[in-house]
This record gives sequence, structure tokens and C-alpha cells, in this order.
Amino acid sequence: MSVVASPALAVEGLVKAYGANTVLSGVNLTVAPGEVRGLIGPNGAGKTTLLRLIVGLVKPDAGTVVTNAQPVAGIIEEPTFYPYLSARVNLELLDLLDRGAGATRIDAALESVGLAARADDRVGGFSSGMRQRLGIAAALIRRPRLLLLDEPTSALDPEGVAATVALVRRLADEDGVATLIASHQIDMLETLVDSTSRLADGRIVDQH
Amino acid sequence: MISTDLRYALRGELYKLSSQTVARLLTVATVLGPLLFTLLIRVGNATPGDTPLGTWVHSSGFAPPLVLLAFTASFGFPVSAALLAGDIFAAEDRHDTWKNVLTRAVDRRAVFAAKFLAASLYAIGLLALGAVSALASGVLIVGSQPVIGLSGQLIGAAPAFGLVLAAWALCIPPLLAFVALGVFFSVATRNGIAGVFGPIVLALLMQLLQRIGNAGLGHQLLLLASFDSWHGIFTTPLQGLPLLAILVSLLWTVVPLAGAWWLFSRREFGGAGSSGGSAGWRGLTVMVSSVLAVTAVMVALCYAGSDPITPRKLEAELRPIFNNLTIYQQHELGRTILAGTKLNDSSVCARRGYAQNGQGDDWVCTIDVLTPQADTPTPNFEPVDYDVSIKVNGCFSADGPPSFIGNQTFKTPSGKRVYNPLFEIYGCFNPL
Repeated sequence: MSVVASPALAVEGLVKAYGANTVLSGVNLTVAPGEVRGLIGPNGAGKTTLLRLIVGLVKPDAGTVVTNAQPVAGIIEEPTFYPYLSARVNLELLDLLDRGAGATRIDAALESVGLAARADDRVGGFSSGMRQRLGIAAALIRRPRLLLLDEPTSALDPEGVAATVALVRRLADEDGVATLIASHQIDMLETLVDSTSRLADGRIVDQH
Repeated sequence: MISTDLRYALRGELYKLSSQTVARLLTVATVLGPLLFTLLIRVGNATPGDTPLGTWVHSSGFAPPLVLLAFTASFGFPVSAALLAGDIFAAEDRHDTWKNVLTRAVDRRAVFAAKFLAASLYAIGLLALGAVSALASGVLIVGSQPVIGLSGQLIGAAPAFGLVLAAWALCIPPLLAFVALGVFFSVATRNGIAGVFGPIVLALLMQLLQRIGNAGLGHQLLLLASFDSWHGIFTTPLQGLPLLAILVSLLWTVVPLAGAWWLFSRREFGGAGSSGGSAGWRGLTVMVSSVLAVTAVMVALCYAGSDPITPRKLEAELRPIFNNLTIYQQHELGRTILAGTKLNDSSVCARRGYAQNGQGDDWVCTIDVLTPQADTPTPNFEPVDYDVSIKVNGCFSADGPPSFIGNQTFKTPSGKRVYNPLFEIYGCFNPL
């Protein structure tokens, strides 16, 4: 008798339309525990919509999303925060929405993305790259088992990209975190992912 | 798990709210406003005679907090509720942070409830702060003398203290209703400006509507009328708990909240129309159409039924108030009148204008007043004309002829100058 581990994420027959515009038309996708899967495709292919469907911000017209790995955390589009509050307070507020489970991890998360020195600065003064790093920190304090990243390195400098790649790889290898990462940065993905899915015309057209 | 989720979400919402400049400015204004108001009254000679208990602001420290309450209720409470609640959902749209808030452990129900509760608790906190500040300012600056109630009765310092606090507390239900309206506009428009202006525009329209139609049940269904429910605890006989005002407030709370939840629970966070310029136009359209729909219902209500403010009603209400105030005036002059003494025989009220009933400032009430005659054993009644202005909430002011009632102030036998209680009579009664 063989034992097959449940996938961390299983998407089946997912359909989503906004009015007459069908964005996804039957998407199937799985991500195994510890796997880093890249999601590529042209602009408007439906990558962000797929991530929004997975986290429940949008309801599907048809199909199912099963997240066996919990909790789920991630960055959907450009990370956004309350600009009038500090980085640390923003994370504390997010952690309250997780019932305070990650309060002790906030400093470590800020440290791991290189924002410890700016923790008490207002986010309104942060660059895009700093907000992106803060977004990763916000995901980390949940101690996720499934990580969803939407263009997580688009605003980062080369050092930031390398640090993020190393961080995601370490989470997958050491903690078994499953990751679905949507990006246009093919070079970055090639150094990071275990597998890739290509999304076009609302369907996964290539998977390897 | 909702209670745990709600507790955590509420902590976050309260922190966000208290971090905002507008909330901090409201807090400062709530603490300092009553102090400045009372100081200005004390320094100046103005007597806001067209406001409940306004004629007694120089005589008792319990009057200024109630005058302030009357001013605040018509505009201050709706504005503060709108500022606190009108942006509480829309701010997440403006900062594009719904994707953070709704992808954590707590669910939408807890987020929705926490936002409403946070705005409500902050609004109630401000009201409590305002009540304490107003009462402390009044007592410290003017004094803790007894105050004259809305039926002309004397209220001692101890009961007045409790009644002033109770009066402010009775404004909590309609205040929460304005918070609920703010929540509705915030959710429906997804726009902070429309969310704030929605409840304020409705409050202004209600003020306008209070000047039209008749004073029947329809007017009591206007939310703004519920802010006047405290008048009932300053009249005699005591009108009891203002159940109608509480029910009206509850209705105005439940309906907008149910509408807001209906929209929020079905909302998708992503895709067309969720942000950007289309959201601005959408917000304006939703705000205007909602206000128009509610206004149409309110206008219809204001003209429903017959007007309960009739000459007979006013005559019956004015007589005992005049009686009470005359007894108080004679007491101040050092004369003793036995309680229960009938100092006026009858009164006849009529309007000068076209209408026979209802609110207006063209009423004339003629009261047959007992005048002491040293040389005759039989009582002598002299007719005195009072110009009466009455509002839709049953509050009226009556100006008597100075030739008969004397000046605005007079000196007591001890040489103290006091307000003449018959110079301008202000009273309130339940118009229903």
C-alpha cells in the first residue's frame, strides 16, 4: 500500500469571470509540501486573480480550492499598509487578526527582511522595495505552511532579490513550506523554483 | 470563536481609530469645548433663551451642560459619529488593505462587528467625556445651585446632577444610529468623503424637515428627534423612559447595519470597480441615491396624520408651567406661596396666522393671572398676553409684556440680582 501525501494546495476546475470577461476558465494546479512552484504568464493572464481566489478574497464561479496546508500567507499584488503607522505597529495590527499568535515573531521577521532599523518609522515614508520586504515580513509572522507570492521581488534591488530567493528556498527546504510564486522575473524563478506552471487565456497551458 | 476573534479585531480597530488625527482632534474638542463654552457664557451676558434651560445658564451650573447638549445633539453628535464611522471601512479601500485584513485568521463577521463596535465605543467615550467636562465646567464656573426644569419646577442640586448625566446618556441610542449610518455609507460608497458626508447630509435634511409638516408620530420617527428625548426627564410629571426614542434609534441602527452587512458579506475584493476613479463616482452615486430614498420616506412621514399641537393642548401645558414659575418668582422675592396655590385661572391660545394647529412663532396665549389686591377679599384675575413660539418637539418659549412681568432680572431681598423666571418662559411637553 502506497501513501500519497496530500498536496498543500489543490486547485481544480477554477472558473472566474467579471461580467463578460472570463479571466480563468478551468484552472487545475497543485503544490506539494516543500515545493516551490512558479506561476508565469503574460499580463492579464489571471495570475493575481488566481491568488485572490486561493485566499478567498474573490469567490469562484465554478471549481474548488483546497488548502491542506494552514496557515496561508502571502503577498497579493503590491504590499500595502497603513501609511500613518510604523512598520512594527502595522505588523502588530496584522498579528491581532491572527489572534496574537505571532507577536513574538515580529522582531525576528523584521530582522530577516532587513527592516529592524526602520521598524519604528512610518510606512508612509518607505520605498516600494521596503514595502515589499515588509510584505514578506507580514507573511512570515504567520509562520505559513503555504506561501503565495505575487511579484515579490519586482521592486527589490539585486541584493534584496537574492535575500528573498534564499529565504523562500530555506523555508521550503527546512520547514517544508509550499510556495506558489507568480513573477515575470524568469531569471529569478529559474534559480528558485522546483516546478513551473504557465497561465495563458485563463488556463494552465504548460506545467513542468 | 467569534468572541475571541472579535476581541482581537476590536483591539486593532480601536488602535487604528485612536491613531487618527481626526479622532484625536475630536477628543481635544470634547474636553475643551464645554469648558470654553461655559467660560464664554459666564464672561458674556448672552442668554440662549430659545434653548431648553437656556434662561438659567447664569443661575445654575446644571443649565450650561444641557444647553450644550441641545446644541451638540443637532449637529455635534452626527458630525462626530460620521467622522468616526464614515471612513472606518472606506479607509481600507483607500489604503488597499482589505487583502491584508481579510486573509488572516479572523473572519469577516468579526472584522465587521469590530469596526462598528470600535466606532461606537469611541463615540460613546467622547459623549461621556463631553458630559463630564460640561458638568464639571458648569458646576465649577457657575455653581451647583438648583435649576428650573422644563415644567417650571425647581430641581435640587443632587437630582439635577444625576439628571444631567442621564440626559447625556439618553443621547447614546441615536448617536449609535448615526454611527450605523456612517458604517453603511462607508461600506456602500467605499469612499471616505461620501461615508462622512452621508450621515451629515441626512442630519441636515432632518433639521430642515423638522420645520415642515405636522408634529405627529412621523416627526418622532426622524432620528434627530430622538436626541430630544431627555426633555422628558426634566418635566413633571416625569414622562418616564423614552421608549419611542429608543425604538426609533434602534430602527435607525439595525436597518443601516443590516444593509451594510449585506453588502460587505457579498463583496468581492478584486476585479472591476473595486478601486480607483470608478469607486469615487460609485460612492457619490450610492450616497446621493441613498440620501434621496431616505429623504422621500422622511418627507412622507412628516406629513402623515393630524397635528397634535392644538390650542387646547398648549393651554393645558402652559398653565401649570406659568404657575410653577410664579411660585418660584415669589419665593425669590421673599414671599411665601403655599404649594398647590392656583395663580392663574385660565388660558386661551390661538395662532395669528392661517394655520390653527402646529409649530410656529405666531401663537398668542392669554393667561388670566391672579394679581394680589390688598383692599379686596375676592381674587382679581388680569389677562396677560404671551407671544409663544413652539417647535415640533413640543418645546416652546413665551414672552410676556415687560409692563406686567417686569425686567429680565430683579433684586432679591438680600440684594442679589437674579433672572426673572416669568420674563421669558421656556417649557417642553410631549406633543403626542
